[in-house]
Amino acid sequence: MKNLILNIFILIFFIFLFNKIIFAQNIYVDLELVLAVDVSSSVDEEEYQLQIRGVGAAFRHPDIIAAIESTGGNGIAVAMVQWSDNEEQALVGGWHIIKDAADAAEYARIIRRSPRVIAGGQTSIAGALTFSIDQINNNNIDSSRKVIDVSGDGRANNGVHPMKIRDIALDQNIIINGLVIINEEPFLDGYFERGVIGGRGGFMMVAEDYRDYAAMILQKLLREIGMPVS
Amino acid sequence: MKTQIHKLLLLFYLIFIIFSNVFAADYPYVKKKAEILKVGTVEEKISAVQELGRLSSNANFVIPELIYSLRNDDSHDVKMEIIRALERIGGQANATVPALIEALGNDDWQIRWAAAGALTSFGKKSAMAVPELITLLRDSNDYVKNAAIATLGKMGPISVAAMMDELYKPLDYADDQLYVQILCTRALGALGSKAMIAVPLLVENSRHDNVIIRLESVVALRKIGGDDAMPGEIGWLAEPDEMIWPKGSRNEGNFLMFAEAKQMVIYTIVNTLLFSISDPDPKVSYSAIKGLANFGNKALPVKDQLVNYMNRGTPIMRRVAIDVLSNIGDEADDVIPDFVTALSDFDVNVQWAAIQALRLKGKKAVPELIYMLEYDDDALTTNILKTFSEIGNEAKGAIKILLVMLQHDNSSYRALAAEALGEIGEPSLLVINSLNIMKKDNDNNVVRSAEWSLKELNRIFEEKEKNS
Repeated sequence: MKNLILNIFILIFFIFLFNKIIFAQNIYVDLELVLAVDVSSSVDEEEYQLQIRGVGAAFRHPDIIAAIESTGGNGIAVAMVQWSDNEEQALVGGWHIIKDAADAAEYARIIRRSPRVIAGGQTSIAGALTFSIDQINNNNIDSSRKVIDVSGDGRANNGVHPMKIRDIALDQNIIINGLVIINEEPFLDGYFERGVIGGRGGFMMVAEDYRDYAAMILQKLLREIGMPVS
Repeated sequence: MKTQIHKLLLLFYLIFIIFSNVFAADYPYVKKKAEILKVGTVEEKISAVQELGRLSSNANFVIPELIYSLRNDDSHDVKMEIIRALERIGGQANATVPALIEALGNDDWQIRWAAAGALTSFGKKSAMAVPELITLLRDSNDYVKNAAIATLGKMGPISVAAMMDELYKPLDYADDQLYVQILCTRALGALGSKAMIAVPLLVENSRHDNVIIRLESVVALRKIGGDDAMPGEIGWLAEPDEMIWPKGSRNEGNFLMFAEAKQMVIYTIVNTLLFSISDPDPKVSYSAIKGLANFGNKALPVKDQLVNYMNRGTPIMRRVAIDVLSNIGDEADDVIPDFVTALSDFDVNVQWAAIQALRLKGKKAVPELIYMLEYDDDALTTNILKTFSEIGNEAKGAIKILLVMLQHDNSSYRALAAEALGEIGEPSLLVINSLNIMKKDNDNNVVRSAEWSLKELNRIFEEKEKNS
């Protein structure tokens, strides 16, 4: 009798273990993309709205949907990270797998409704990159391309130099692209070019101010997901 | 008893931690690190200097040793680390700033680059470095030039006069004078209101023969006059040195009051931008229009001109004209029909600018949007439905027509109408029942859109119930 109970327990344990292995299998997508959005004190509420509404609008664009649908059914995985100083980062709304127009519209709705979870703070690009790398490494998703898309309007004034974390990302085959908003610092693009972006095909785009954000993020996503910029 | 012992142990531990940190940076410890600079290997020196940098102001008293090594050590890497450490320690400006100025003349471009960057952390105390930084604008290395201009652009009023001097020089003063003037003009713009004294010169340069100078001047004026850059009176009273008024702020021997002077500067800048809209070069004209978006209803005198650009300009001109018109406020409400027409523009970015302009107009835009749905034009209808979602609750006047749109043959319209009903957020029985029917639609996008809106309306309904 004792042996029977013990055997049942062992059986339950193995079933549990087997299930865990099966269900822990990673999802495969064509691209893992983190959109790291600056919400430091230099970004006011209207500028924040222009960013998230711009991202939402981009995911409704037919070219973006066509690019996603051309990934051969695998789709892409997207997550939004809000960031400011070294201690302030947040994954907003989790990871989303987008395979078709309906998924993209759903994601656009979620993004447009995303609350600003970090009220402000200093600027730590290194903190944003470290957090984004962690999100990519711990998301149970696999892909051949991993990209962090960091946007910001200022140099780092908090945390370590972004260059150090950029190199860590590159060692893990994670590409860092930049969207630089030069409304406050006219020489910021050079800083991003030298110290933030990198990786195979890594690139940067420049927006004069937040009113240009939607146009730029659309072009940038088209390039990142795989379509030529029209 | 046991708890008391635990608390006592915790107290001892905290005292130990505090004291160990305090004494980690004590005089003998720091001196010992500085000694390594004389006798250590390159690696040991680098490690010691990094440690001193980490100690920040606690390493203040070894600054003379660091400066000595900066001047005399043979290793490039050690010198680079010393500059970084001096930047982090940030003290003894009387000794450190001259040492960094000396490093600006080093043959090694990386040393010049690092020293130019390090001066940023000394703020006004680095005033004596301004002439050398201006000289570096003609450096053979671009990194050095950029570091120098970035430091000048963060110094405040102390660097303004030197940069203005460069702008007064004729373009044939030196081979690279145009480039230097571009950098200086950009840096003046980066200083914002701190460069207010340069406004008359920039206004003059906005009519320069050289198109690049005109363009850069207009951009700089935009930044100086931008709402965010103009400090309030309290900020100015707290730090009057941070802002210098143009000479024109004297009126019959008396200083103008703050508000009058501020108004005068803004008036001058806006007038310059209004004038530059008619510049023969499209880039200058575009930049002037874009600048007006920061000045709200002050762009009103050129409203008709902006409407003209919105209808006939290049896509980028059309987009920026919409931005400016949407910022004018109530006085430009008569432009709403033009915004709605722009929803069918062939350029997607113009469409988006129009959607955002209509969002800012809120419920005032709804009747025109409803009216234009009658045209049943594909791009127009799609964007009108998107606009209702963007406007949100203020678009509740559109609920009736949205319920009709749920029956449309076009599944994309049905999906967008369902979504707009969720965004408007009025959980009436009619809306909820209609959305429930849409859950049986044969298009997956419509079903998901309806489900999302129902979830949203349910949340609003529950919140209302809770509050009542």
